[in-house]
Amino acid sequence: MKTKINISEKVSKAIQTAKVNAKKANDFALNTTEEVVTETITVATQWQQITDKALKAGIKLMENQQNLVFDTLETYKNHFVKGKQRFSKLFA
Amino acid sequence: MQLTCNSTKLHLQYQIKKTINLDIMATKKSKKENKFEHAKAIVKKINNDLIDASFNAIETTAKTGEKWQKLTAKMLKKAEPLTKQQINMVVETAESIKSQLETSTERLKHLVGYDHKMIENAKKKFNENPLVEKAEEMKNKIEKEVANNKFVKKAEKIAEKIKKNITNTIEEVKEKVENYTDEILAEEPKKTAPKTKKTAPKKKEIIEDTEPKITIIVEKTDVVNDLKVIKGVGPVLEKSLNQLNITSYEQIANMSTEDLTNLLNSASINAKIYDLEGWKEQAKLAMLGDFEAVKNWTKNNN
Repeated sequence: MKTKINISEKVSKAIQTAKVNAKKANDFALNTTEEVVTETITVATQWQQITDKALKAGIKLMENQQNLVFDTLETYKNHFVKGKQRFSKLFA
Repeated sequence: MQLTCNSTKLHLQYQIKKTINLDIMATKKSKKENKFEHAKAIVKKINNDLIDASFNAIETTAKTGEKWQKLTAKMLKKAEPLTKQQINMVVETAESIKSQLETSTERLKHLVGYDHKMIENAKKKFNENPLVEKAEEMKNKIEKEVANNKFVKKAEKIAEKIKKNITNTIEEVKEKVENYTDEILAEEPKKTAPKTKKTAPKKKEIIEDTEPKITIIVEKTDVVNDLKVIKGVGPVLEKSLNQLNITSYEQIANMSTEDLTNLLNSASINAKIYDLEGWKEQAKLAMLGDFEAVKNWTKNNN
């Protein structure tokens, strides 16, 4: 009877330790996951800010480029129109 | 008496045996019952243990699940502004690009002078105008009629014939004129040797042309220049000049125009069509190395 009691105690102890260990592992996994995810979120936010800045700057640059091209074309057009008028007057 | 005593003894014995047997049976029964009870208790205990274990397992699983769920919710909440920002970023970029495209198309239209309404109106007017349809019909009709008309076909044939005839006659006249001039050139020196002095200086020149055909010989030089620089001298003429030993600018510059004409005529090259004076001047410039002046040389400037 004594041996039986010893074995059952041992088994229950082993189960208890396994349980405790599993709980510890779970807690550890939870903490590390939280840390990793929060770190990832902060890094992602930083990169997002950089991307946002780059995109905004790029769009502004594009807009300026477009305006530059169209301004130049419009001025050339005006020059041509004026030149044509003057020529037509000259040879009228 | 003895018999009755024996029978009672036997009976008693039997009774005793019976009671003993009954006792044994009872003990056996109680043992079995005990065993059964014991097994029952064990099973009950196992069952209770199992229930407890499953209860505990479910409880812990639920607890851990709850914990993970909480973590996920937390992370999602944390990531929410990130996704919001991302969406805003994409949408803002798309909107700005769209507005830029719109402005660029507007400006391009303005630049080119594109007026949508005007073009539509013009198209409508053009399509609605009955004259256009009629004009197209008429055009098709006329085209068909013209193509099928016999007179037109005849006129085309006649025009082709006339063209051929004209070209043939021009060639014939050309040949005749050439022959006639050759004949005159051959006859003139015999008939009018003294007269020509007064009347025809051109003929004199021609007479002079005929004589030096054989006499003029140009000395060879080692200097070989690109004669194609001179205007009017192409690769074919350059070859024929080289065959006449003319390879340098110096030779052309130093030769007289008469000598040059004679030389060219002797090689059956029509010298009249070339500006030999110009050749000489260009050759002089080329000798000095002023190729720009040669390139820009014109008869009037020099």
